[in-house]
Amino acid sequence: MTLKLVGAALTVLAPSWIGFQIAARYGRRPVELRGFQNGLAVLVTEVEYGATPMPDALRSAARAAGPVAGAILADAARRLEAGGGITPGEALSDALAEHRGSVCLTPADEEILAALFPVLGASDRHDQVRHLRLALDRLAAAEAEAADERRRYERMYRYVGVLSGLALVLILM
Amino acid sequence: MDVQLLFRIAGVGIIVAVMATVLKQAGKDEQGQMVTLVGVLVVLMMVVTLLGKFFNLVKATFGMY
Repeated sequence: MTLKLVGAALTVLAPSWIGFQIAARYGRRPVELRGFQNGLAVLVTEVEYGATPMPDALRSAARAAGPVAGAILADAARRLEAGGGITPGEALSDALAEHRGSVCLTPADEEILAALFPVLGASDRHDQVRHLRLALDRLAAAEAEAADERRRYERMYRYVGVLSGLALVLILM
Repeated sequence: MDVQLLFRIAGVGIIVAVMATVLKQAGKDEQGQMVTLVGVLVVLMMVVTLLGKFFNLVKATFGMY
């Protein structure tokens, strides 16, 4: 009897955990998009008024970008400083690719960043700023969409997780 | 035993109904219909065994072998 109860509790807990995990992804995406926007906004200032060297600019952007986006920007700065003749775009793309597992961005979000990265540090100031502003606009649109999806799906996945656990217990009982 | 099965069917019904409502509210109508369909099938599986028993009982009662 006790064993049955423990099994039932585990059977409820497992799908609930999966549901909460999926819901958490929906919660984290707008935060990460906002972080990238903050970082890129700092980068705009650094490029436009400071003409700071790229690793330093990336580092100060990383400080403003929050934990997840900040880790990627800081990683790119490290890669640039390590040398090896890579461009800032390559450093950022590599950093993004390495952190892909811990980031909740969709392919469309990554596409926005991938369109921006090759331009950074590779053309004149106005062109870089233009591309940065374009990426900022697209990220803002993506964030609004992500917030909308969060509102719609975050709670739903939690409910569905718990309820499917309960249904499973009832069916197997 | 029979009462327990009844309660189980009722529980599956309630959970499936709530799940379908939640999915529908989130705009995933198709998944909601899918869940309802799966619920119906599961309950049908439970009932089918009972129906089989019932028919066997009828056959046994009237000696239709």
